[in-house]
Amino acid sequence: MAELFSFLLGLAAFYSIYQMLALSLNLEYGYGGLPNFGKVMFFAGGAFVTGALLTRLVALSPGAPPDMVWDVSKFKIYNTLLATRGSGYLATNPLLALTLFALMLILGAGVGALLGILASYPAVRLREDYLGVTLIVSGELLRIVARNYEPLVCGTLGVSVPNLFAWAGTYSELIKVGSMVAVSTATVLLINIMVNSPYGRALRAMRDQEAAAASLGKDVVLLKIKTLAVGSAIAGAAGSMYAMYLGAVVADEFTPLKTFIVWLMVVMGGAGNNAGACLGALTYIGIDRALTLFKHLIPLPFDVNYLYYTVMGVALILLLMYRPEGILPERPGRLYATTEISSDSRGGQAAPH
Amino acid sequence: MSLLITDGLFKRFGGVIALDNVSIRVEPSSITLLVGPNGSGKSTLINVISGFYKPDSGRVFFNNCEVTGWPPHKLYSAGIARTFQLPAPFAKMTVLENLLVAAKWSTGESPLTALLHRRRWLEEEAEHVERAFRILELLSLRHMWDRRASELSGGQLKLLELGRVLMSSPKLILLDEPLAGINPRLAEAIVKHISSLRDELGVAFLIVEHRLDVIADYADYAYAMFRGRVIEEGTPKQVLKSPQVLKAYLGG
Ligand SMILES: Nc1ncnc2c1ncn2[C@@H]1O[C@H](COP(=O)(O)OP(=O)(O)O)[C@@H](O)[C@H]1O
Ligand SMILES: [Mg+2]
Repeated sequence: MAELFSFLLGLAAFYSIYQMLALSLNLEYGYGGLPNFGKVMFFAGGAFVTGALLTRLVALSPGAPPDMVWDVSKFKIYNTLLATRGSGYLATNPLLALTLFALMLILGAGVGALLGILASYPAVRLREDYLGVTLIVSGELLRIVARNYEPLVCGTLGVSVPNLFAWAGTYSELIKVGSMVAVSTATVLLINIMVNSPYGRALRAMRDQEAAAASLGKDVVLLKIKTLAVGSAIAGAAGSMYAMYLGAVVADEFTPLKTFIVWLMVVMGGAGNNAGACLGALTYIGIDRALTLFKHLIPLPFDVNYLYYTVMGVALILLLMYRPEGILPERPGRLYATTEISSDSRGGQAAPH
Repeated sequence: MSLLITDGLFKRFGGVIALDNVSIRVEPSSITLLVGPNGSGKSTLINVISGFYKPDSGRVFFNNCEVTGWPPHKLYSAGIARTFQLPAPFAKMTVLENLLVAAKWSTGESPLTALLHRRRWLEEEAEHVERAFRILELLSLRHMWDRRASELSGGQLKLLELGRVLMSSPKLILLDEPLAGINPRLAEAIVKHISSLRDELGVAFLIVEHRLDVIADYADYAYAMFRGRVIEEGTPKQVLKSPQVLKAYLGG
């Protein structure tokens, strides 16, 4: 029972994070046609800024020796200790802890947005395929910088992040995951308003026929910049949340595989349909979590994850062959109908004139 | 003062001179025809005026303002709208949505305003939907309003192109072969509608069209192009009778 509970909590936590990533990619690619093959960079940006700042910020409050915080060679050794002490300090100060939680999300989103705007520089000048390649490369760039530049997240060793929910005692995990679900759900609501607005419609128009969209008054350059900024802000916030959930940030975890997992979710679930993207994320994370939990029960001579990647790969190919629009295909935009339409035209065949 | 003036436009593609010193004028509230055999540079001229191509030299003036090299979206807000010779629908969007895209928004088209000014754009949305339905009615497309554009026939796509540009009350509409593939009765109706837009709302049109039988009677002025040059101009009757133009079409 306890095991099931913790399985469900883990599922909810990872789902919250990947739901945000999948929705952000769906905004960029599903609606806007922007092939963001560098998703992991923006995710990493949020995680790195959280890893770099949170432990240091918290350590300063209970008065850790400043050289432990600012001298990189010492911080590398003592960051776990500092994070543990920080968690203890924050356990007595829930208000500060929650403020830091919000602050880190905002910072993560800000760094994400900034990276998104930087990435849009080539985006507005390159054709789709070249843009995709450029983004894959820049995604790796940030990871490589982080693993070699130790002051950021202690290079290959990684950095510990204090637990911002220690004040909740036994319920710590529950409240932490609950907060993550709340943030993720708020994102769903915001993105749903966006894609069902004139903005979302302009995005789909740009995706379907860029020249026509431009001729009808859409500033496609600006649209791309704004969209990559919003999508990357969401990915950055997700990265920050990921760091705070796991309690550690390790640069080498942020490989292009993460990008492809998010793509898999969106393409399988249904690009251009937010419910599809969420369903894709849930399916992937559900199986992934279950495998992690039960893999010792499956007798295989190799890690069961390899089998999983193979199965997912085959599933993707089959889906693209037989249901190219994903499990839940794109639907027409929400119509804010006037009474006139609903009364005499909806679904009806008005007499041809 | 003319609404649109092009002054000595040149445009070449590799060895082909697509526009060779093209100077034309479109008066406000008029229909100006642009004729000429295939490959004369008519579409290129439309593309230069609407900002899709930059001319190698020469200038474009619209509404007393030099607009040479402006990007298409800026020209659209200035009041120039165009259609494409090959229909360019938003294929995965419905017919109605295709029109709504073309509405000139003041709000709701950026991620922030979409969130923060929801009430305002919802109000605007209602007006745009109403306007879109009036246009669809006019073009006999109303019964198709909730179909994806990819389901339309070639002729219907042409109508959709026309419908989109009507959404924004432009001052000048550039139509690249709007009647191609449309049955004679509907073509006649569209031309009548175009002329009523000119007469009642003062919209100016520059129209590339081969089906002169339908449109010539309604046009105020005409230019004939051949091999990138303007070879004749005047009333449609004069231009169509000109031996030069006949020779160009025959020898084309
Ligand atoms: N994008 C382009 N690239 C290369 N050549 C072009 C391009 N657009 C037009 N042309 C050439 O310019 C000439 C004029 O073409 P166009 O303007 O389409 O003529 P029209 O519309 O009168 O039939 C043709 O020789 C055509 O091949
Ligand atoms: Mg042409």
